[in-house]
Amino acid sequence: MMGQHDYYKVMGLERGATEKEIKMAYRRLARKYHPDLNKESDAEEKFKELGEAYDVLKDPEKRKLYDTYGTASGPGPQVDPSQQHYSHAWTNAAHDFHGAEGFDADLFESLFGGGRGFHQPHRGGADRHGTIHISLEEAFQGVVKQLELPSHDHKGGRQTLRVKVPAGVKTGQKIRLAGKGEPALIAGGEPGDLYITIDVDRHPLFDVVENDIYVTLPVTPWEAALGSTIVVPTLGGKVDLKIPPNSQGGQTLRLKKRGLPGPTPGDQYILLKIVIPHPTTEADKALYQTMAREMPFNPRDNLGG
Amino acid sequence: MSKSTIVMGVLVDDQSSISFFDLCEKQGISEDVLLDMLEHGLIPEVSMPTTHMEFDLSMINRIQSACRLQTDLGINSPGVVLALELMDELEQLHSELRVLQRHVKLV
Repeated sequence: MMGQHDYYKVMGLERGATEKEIKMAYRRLARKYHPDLNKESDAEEKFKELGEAYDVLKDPEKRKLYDTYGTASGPGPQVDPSQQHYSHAWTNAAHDFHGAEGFDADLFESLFGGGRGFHQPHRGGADRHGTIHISLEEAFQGVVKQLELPSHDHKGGRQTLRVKVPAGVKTGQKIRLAGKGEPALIAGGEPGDLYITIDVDRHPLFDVVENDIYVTLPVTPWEAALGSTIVVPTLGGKVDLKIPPNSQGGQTLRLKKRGLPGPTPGDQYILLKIVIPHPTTEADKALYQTMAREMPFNPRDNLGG
Repeated sequence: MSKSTIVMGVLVDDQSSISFFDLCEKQGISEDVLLDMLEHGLIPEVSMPTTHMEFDLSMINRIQSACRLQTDLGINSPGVVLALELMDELEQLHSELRVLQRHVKLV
């Protein structure tokens, strides 16, 4: 995958671009795709591609080779420049790391989080980093996920790990598996650790804000006006919610401690949305007409109208 | 052949901390650079940074972010702090917007 992109396309440049244009394009795109500034899931990948492209195009020698042969290493045995560049920190190609449950090797982490961060440079093995995606229900309840990692015991083999993800995890939190990183480079050294970053998928009903859960609850005008008890979904199951009389659309109700579990458990917030029925029959229309006549009401008082 | 192992995941502890000097060493940054970033307000809850302070996981993540931005984009300390503050605000607005957009679209 790596090293096969058109470097000019990656940088949005014409093949005849000047050195200055290349530099300016790099600066602009590096800001745009820097994973600390761009939270899109493909930002990391794009930032890496950009670095790879710039590494070649900024160097007149490498660029010439690339223009001639389509690769910066010229004719002869093909060496993937990304591997040359990064492999000290990450010996497994990214695609080797896809597991039964979709474990994405996180190259950026190993480059910048691990490589430049908290790795053990001496005798111990390097730490490995990756990401797993879980559903919000799994985050709420905790889950056992099966991962496949390249094994170091036998050539080309895979090691299956069943990892218990504790309840209440949030996107961005990390799980550490001691001793599951790279083996030590010398005999007797400790292997590195495996760090798994959690990514909680978007839920079809619920939104998460820190520890709290938000859900919109559609109600009828009479439920809002007269009050009522309505069954609402929460991550822990269905709950009876009392809607007080005289409720309005946009009002928020709170179910205490029905959010994500943790040292300070979150709450669930319910946003009321009043939905009016379409009158389909003459009798329906008559009901609205009765209300119009019997319940004079001007919702535009505040507009000065 | 793969053999199956069950491993308990240990959540990287929010409570564990690292000292100022250890952080500088592991992160490969000079003490002056870190102190400078902290004095520019890199970590909002740290008002009086000293070399005796300890950093928890979220602080470490923020410092790593700041170091990457400084190195990769050539931004100075005030610029890095400004960028991260704006990112915080953006993230908060995005999460509020997500809730409200869903609210508006539903039904």
